[in-house]
Amino acid sequence: MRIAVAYKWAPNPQDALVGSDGSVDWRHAKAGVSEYDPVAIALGRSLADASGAELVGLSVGGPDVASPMAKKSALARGLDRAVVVADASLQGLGATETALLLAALVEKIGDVDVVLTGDSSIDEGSRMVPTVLAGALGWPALTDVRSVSGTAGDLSVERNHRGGSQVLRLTGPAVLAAAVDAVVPGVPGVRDILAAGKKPVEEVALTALVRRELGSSVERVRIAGPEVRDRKRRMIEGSDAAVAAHEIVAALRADGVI
Amino acid sequence: MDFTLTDDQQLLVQSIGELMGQESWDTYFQECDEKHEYPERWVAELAKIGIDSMMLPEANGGMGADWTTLAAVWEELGRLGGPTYVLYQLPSLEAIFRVGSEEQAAKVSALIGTGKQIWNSAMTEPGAGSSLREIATTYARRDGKVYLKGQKIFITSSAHVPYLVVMARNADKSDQFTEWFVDMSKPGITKSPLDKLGLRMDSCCEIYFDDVELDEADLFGIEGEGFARGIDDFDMERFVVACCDYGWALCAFEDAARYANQRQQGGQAIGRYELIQEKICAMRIDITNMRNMIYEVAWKHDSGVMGKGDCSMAKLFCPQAASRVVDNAIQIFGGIGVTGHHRVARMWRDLRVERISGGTDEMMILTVGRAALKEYR
Repeated sequence: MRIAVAYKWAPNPQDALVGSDGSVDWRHAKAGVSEYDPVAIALGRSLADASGAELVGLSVGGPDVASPMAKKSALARGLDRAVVVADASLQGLGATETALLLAALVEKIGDVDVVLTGDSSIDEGSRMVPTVLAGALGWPALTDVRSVSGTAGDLSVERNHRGGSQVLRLTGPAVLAAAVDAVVPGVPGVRDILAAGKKPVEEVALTALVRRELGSSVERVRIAGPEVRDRKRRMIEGSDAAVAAHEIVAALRADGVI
Repeated sequence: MDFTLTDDQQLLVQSIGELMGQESWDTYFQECDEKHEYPERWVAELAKIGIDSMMLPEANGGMGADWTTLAAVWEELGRLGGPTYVLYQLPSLEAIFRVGSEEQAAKVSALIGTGKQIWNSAMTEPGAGSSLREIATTYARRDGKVYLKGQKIFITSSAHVPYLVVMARNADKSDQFTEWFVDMSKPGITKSPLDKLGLRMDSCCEIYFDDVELDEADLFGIEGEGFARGIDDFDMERFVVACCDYGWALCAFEDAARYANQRQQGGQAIGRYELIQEKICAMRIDITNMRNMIYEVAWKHDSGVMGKGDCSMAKLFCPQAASRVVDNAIQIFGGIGVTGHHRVARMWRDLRVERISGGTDEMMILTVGRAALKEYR
């Protein structure tokens, strides 16, 4: 069984500066494995350990994706090896194109039984990649996955569903997007970091992939922050919590909010 | 000189950040500080990622980390509010494998990875502090056994460590100083805990050895070479103290700088006032000097060119500079700094102790001064 985990090497928005005009300055944002991807890697590691499968990391993006830091950072999370496509033309790639390219990479590697992804990327957060990837591969996509067990072609998947959960059985390959809180991923330790430097990484040239072309192009024209709405700006004095709570409830009722 | 950390060092620092971000550790530290308890749960988490064994040689299950890695890890732990002083026993574990017998190393190995306290050495006595030649604790051989008799004082961690390496004088040959690896559960050992101004998450006791029966196998290292062993390891202890103090100063500086940008007085952030900027400036200079000194000493150690006074210089400068930084942080925090258990107040208490424990300021001055003069003889 071969399990792939798609991860993104993304800048952390916590370090980005948002100007008063809504412009975003990413220059000081340090890149790392996108925040929710370690959850997918941890789920994959458990499944791989239980089933004796191989756990392969996949990533596509700009030249940074192939930097020693990016590779070690992902491998220290528990992947057995990584396959990356790094090309200057892939810098800032949109969600659809990223998913299509990942599909081409999954096909190139071959024999992949399941692809795991994080819930969404930390910088874009579109939550589209797993579903578009599954569509491109012609596989089912399951999002909000809490746990997965079984073997190739016979997987049991538990996912969040309307506040509760549902268990699904999969017979065949699939793309599974991990719920953000599926597991708390472990912190890479000294040994994981040292081992990461010795794990194999394959760089696949963009030209070696059979890409699905998009029929149209999408270009980002402008980014703006959320508009600040005019608020009532009413302060409720809170020295007596019970009185303040009643007053808040009464005010919200009066305005038809609750 | 290039102070850029390697990829592996950066990843380790990132892991520290992740670990420290997993929960609000400061609440736990505050509890431990109030109750004078060792923060074992925190140390166990660090042990899980291998911080306890990272300085050990690879043959002993470590990563053979250098001092630059040690500085980077201690810097990040301190920056995020970690009471790194409780970890002093970890970087020095290597001495057990270098000096100790196989049996002693096995006893210590069994505790690595658990987060539990393991060992410390005991030198100071009521009559022998900075001048260790006055040590009056003796060992004497009778009927194939060794008997330890005397009193030690201000011994860090001694309430809970299972093993203490005790320096003693040969009762039959008074110029011979030897260390003994003492199992603290042996009969004849009495501990009297001491209250402390700071560093309260670790214990400190007065210890009485009343004819404690030891075996020859408990000898630590070579008979008569106790001082040489102890002094060899002083440098690392001093370096680690400097790293701890710099880390807390960085933490206090960052806390204070953020607060100065937020706290409004007279219609503007207090950071807009020049008297606050003067403090921030002085703090930044101290922090920069501490960082430069620590990373230079680490680099010199790792390159094999460390001088005799280098670690003592850092042990003298960093506690004093960090005390100034933390004192300024408290001034910026105003009322918050002196009420309600803000971590800068804890660090302020801890730093005052740092100028005495692990070698007093005065002893550092003597070491640095003599080492510098020797170069120009």
